[in-house]
Amino acid sequence: MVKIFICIAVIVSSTLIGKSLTDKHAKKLSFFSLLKDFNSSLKRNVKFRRQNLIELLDLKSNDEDFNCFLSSYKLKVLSKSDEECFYPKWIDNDDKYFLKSYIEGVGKNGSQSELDFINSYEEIIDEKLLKIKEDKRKFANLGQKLGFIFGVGLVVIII
Amino acid sequence: MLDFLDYNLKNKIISLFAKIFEVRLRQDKPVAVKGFDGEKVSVKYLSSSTTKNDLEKIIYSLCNYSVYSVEESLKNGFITSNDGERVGVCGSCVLSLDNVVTIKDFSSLCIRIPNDVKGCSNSYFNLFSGIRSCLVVAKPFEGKTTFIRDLGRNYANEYNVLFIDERDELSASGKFNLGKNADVIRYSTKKFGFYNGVRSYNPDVIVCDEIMSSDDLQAVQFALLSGVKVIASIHSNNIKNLLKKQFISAIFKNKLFDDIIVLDAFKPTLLKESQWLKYLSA
Repeated sequence: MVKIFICIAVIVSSTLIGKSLTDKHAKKLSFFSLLKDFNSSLKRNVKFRRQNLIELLDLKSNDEDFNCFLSSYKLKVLSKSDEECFYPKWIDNDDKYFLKSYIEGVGKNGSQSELDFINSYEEIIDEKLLKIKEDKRKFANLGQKLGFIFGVGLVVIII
Repeated sequence: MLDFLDYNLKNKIISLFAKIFEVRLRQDKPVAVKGFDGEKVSVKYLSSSTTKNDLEKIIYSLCNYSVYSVEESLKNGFITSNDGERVGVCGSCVLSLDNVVTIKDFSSLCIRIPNDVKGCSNSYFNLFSGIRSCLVVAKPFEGKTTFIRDLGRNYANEYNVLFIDERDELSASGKFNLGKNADVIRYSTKKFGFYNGVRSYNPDVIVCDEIMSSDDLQAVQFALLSGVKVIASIHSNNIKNLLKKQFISAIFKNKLFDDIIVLDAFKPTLLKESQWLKYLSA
């Protein structure tokens, strides 16, 4: 009886570990989808309301990483600090560089140049989202499956 | 005050005077601060200078990290801070078809700090009962804006007063109390403010700062001829030179303002008609 419980626990935990290792695709998809929304709201804002960027950085979403990204940048500019703002742990260097150039570039232009800036980034974000969706489709269940197989293998060895 | 400046620089500036009127930041030159030390108005210099990078950071902070939101005022050479400080900007103008599109390569900033002196217009206000149109004449830095703000506030306790605050200096984004019956249109041109104000707000008095052109004057005339009293200011060192400005003489000829006040070192002097009539006929 104890052995059965141990076997189930091993399979479940290895499956979960496997899933969490490839979970970054889902996180990435959520993060960049919100970035696309943020970029669109910036565009509407520059065209119509012309609120300042600081007010827009108060945007709250259900993605904690994205909220931290915006609020840390707000804190950085308001405190006139040279420190880096928050970037999610799972992000690779290319994406980090992209986010840095984006967030540090917004608000620094007149309206027409700002719209050009936003539009150019909109295209890049769209391309990134397509790739992320493709990667998620390919790899999202891979970790889960590998974790499960690893767990089963471990159980066979234990038995 | 001066919240858009670096914390250390702000503290150094504030510690120089009991009351600060003006701060000038120039690229690679010491910071100049004009203020009142309790006895006289003087200028003091900080030992540190401002770099080009510092100026850019200040501009960016001044516009709340959103250059597009201050684009129109930047084209006119100034940005107003959240606390109503008017910052004149010098740099290289970018032109398109003879129009200034924006300013880049900032080289110096002139920060004017608004002062709200309650009661500074009382000597004039208490002379008459009822509302009177008045034109305040003074050269820069003589207290025109402070005077008309206080006069408007005095009237706003009893009458409906509309402030046309082209540069957000009169209300400082609501930081200055303008009286219980005050309405404020911020960042509007005089043309928009006067024409729409007369139509939509039913004001007894309209207050506006700095008549600069014949377009401004036309808007003021429209209100005066519509039966609305106007309190306005104009730059000039004396009435003789003021009347040399082509666009202004019509307002004197038609006697549209009830009173002309000349401010000298923050002290108002009410001019008699004979004092300006001789220059008009000349």
